[in-house]
Amino acid sequence: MGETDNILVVENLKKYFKTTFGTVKAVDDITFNVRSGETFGLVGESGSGKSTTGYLIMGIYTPTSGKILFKGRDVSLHVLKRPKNIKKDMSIVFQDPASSLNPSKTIGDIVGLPLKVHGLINSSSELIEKVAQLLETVELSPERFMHRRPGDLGGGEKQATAIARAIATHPSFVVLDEPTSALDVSIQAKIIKILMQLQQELKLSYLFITHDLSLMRNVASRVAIMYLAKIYEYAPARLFFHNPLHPYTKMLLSSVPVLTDEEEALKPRDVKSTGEVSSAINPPPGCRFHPRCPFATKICKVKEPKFTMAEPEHYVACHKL
Amino acid sequence: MAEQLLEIKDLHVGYKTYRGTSKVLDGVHLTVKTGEKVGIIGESGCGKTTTMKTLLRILPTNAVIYEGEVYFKGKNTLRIGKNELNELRRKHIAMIFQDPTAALNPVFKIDTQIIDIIKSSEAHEGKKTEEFKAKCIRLLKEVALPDPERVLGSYPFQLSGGMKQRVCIAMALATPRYLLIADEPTTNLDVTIQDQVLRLIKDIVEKRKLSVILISQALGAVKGFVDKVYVMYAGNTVEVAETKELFSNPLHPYAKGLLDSTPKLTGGGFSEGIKGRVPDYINPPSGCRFHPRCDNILSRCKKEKPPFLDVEENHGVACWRYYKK
Repeated sequence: MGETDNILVVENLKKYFKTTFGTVKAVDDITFNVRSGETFGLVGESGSGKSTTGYLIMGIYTPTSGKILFKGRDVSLHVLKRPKNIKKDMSIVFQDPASSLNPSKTIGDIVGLPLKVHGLINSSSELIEKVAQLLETVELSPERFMHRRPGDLGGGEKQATAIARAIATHPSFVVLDEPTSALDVSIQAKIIKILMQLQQELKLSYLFITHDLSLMRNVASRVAIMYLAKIYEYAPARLFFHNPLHPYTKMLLSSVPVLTDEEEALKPRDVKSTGEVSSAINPPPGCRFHPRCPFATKICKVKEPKFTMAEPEHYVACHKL
Repeated sequence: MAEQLLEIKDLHVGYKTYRGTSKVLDGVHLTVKTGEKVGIIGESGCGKTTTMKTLLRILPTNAVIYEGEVYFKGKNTLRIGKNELNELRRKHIAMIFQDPTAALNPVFKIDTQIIDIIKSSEAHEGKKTEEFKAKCIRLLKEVALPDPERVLGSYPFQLSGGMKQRVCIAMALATPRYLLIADEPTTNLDVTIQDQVLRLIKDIVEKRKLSVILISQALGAVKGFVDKVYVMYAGNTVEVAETKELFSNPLHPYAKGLLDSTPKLTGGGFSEGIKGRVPDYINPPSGCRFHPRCDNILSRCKKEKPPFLDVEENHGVACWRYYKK
């Protein structure tokens, strides 16, 4: 893969948290890259470390080790130590819009804050004008919403506000951490449409984090799957869904509830969901998925699998291949 | 022809709030036959849970039932006295709630909680503690919990979400029942665990020949589970049909919109969703409550509420577009 068109490269990234029960390995040696203008998807169940990965990239946590390269520059620092122009160029939309917006501020204040912080406006009339423009891009009418507070808004409108705030400084890269999982499906569809339009217009690159595989199929160009702090398979979206190779990917796909027969036909038949995710404090040795894997053999319990290329651009870490 | 187990007719329920009365349920119809599996779909806040709470009469104190009848085994449960109501809750209907963490008492061990249920549901005089314990272990094995002895001696916080929900299922099914209400039983669980829990409920229900009402926002989960589906919008039942029919031939514009905005595993994008948002129940829209979000309205929709009628065999819909004299 060409190094030049990567907007973000993550190399051997690790984040360990010390707790009274032992060290939790939240992210353990993951490597991936996000190309300019693409939507890179990160799927996995709760506790697999996908949000921690997003937070590490944004600098909300400092990595234990490993590198995060943004446009070729090492940014594996805490957000407070990052240069301002880098902070301006990256932003994040959180999962729960109800808790990511300050309830005592108006929508105008919330969207206007990044503009003020980064000195992108010269006068208060310019601020109002820019905020109105931003609200229009996310399909909120400025007259109706500018002076209201988050409490008066519906979930979809709140999330639209959070998106307007995220794009206020014209970033080139946005982390979308489960942006629609708190919303109803009919509202989700609208928010996704806005996000896809913005990507086209502003040439944004997205890191899209979700547990919803059906949604992922429709938004991502490449997908990586995480299980217990590690990435086990990554591939272009079409290959990932039509030719899943890792048993965990198959298990996850076979568990997705679907509506049509065509979708049913796509679900792998050979793996049924069993067992539960093991503890992140004492992850199983070898391949972390082996206690739930129907194909596990001796080697899986001892040796960690290495990534192999199964077909062009399709990488899997499994001993059975 | 299976007999009617539950019939809800034109139910209207509201909540008194300081801003005025919030008229949540505005005409809910529902029938469940013996042994039938029924699904209710609809977005958050459309009154699915309120309907079930009315049925069990566990509504909060500020709720008012304006109109409507609820017949369970031929008896109007809105009129029965305290003793009969207790009987209904103890022996006839069981419910699994959305959030297992909130449904289990955090300060008691699992065994105490299950034994309490058994004691209040059936005659227990003369039974020994060991018998109860043995029954608990049998129940936990039935819900596929590994190591039941350890689970019985645990507090809820020592168990994972999936395990807690299994305990709740075991509790709901501790004694024989006629109807199981599963109110979004898997919304808080991961996809792989959701699949396991749904398969488990389905197995148990089929083995015991129970009737089930499955409430969910996940359309796919409902599709793989039930015989008949009701679609609710803003406190109204807007459509009912057999599962296959509903998913292949939805009639109500809301049901269509909901199906179109669900992302598919096969890709190919999805629609733009339904414009607007769920109405404010204190000042609900006049006429059909869906009309402000509907793309295809008649002048009548703004003024009159559409009746809920069968337009085809076993396919009912509340929409003026399908109304024929």
